Amino acid sequence: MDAFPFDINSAWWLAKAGVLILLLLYLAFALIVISQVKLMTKTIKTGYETHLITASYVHLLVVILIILTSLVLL
Amino acid sequence: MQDIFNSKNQESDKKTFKFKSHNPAPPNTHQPKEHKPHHFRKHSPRKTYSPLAAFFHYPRGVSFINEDPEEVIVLMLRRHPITNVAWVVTALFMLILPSFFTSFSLFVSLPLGYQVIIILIWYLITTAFVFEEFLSWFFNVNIITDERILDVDFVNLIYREMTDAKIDQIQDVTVQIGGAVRTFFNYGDVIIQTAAQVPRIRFEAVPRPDDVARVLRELILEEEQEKLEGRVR
Repeated sequence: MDAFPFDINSAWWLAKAGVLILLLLYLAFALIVISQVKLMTKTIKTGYETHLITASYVHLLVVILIILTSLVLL
Repeated sequence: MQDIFNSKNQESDKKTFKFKSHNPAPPNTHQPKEHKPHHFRKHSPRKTYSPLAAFFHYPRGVSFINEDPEEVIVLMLRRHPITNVAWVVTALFMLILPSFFTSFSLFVSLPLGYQVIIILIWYLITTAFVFEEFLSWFFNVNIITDERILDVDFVNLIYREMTDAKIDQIQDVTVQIGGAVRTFFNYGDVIIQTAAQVPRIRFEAVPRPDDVARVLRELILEEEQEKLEGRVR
């Protein structure tokens, strides 16, 4: 009987799945941030709504790029 | 009318201004003159329109949800910028931390792809932290209009709480400035007791709290004058 039932490849696959799940959770968070910024800018208008909403979308874009990068690198 | 922003009075650490609705300010019967609303507008020596300011006197281009068309924003307040120091320092620490990752043998033993992704995830978390803290500071505001006071709080990601009370419902205003840092940077809490459904509204860590209390006092007197003259909206 093996002392360690998983081989090293299985361990790396698990690590890769863990990283991807973490990034997908972060993707959900980035989407919530967009909703949050929209709610905030709808509540108080200070003249900087466009900048903040753009920043939240750039944040989402960066998360998507990192997810794609992780699919390539891992 | 005195210049409310140039008062030389030295304020104590805690002051309470009481307003009694049954004892309005006596109208000036000797020299009737045209009522000029918001007389303190022209006296303010420090008007700032920086988006990162914390004390806006008659802010330009600012509006809020459910604002009446005739309503005028007299003051918009945020927490004093010095209150951001803690999270800014934390963010700087988080920014430089990845340069120490190579000191950990576990990190070095990982394949290069994993190292890169871990660092990218770390910077994502740092970005989220900075963005959330900034948004929290930027949008948690206190607003004083010529008709009411509002406390806007975003408690978590998508939960908003807006508390308001009419100016004529204000019963008591307390200014609290405690501690060396607050005294040095002249910021503190303004606690407003009201006869509204929410009995207490707290403006936390706002700059120049004595000026805020004076503005409120002027607005209350003005509101009472409007009631006497039958000009209530």
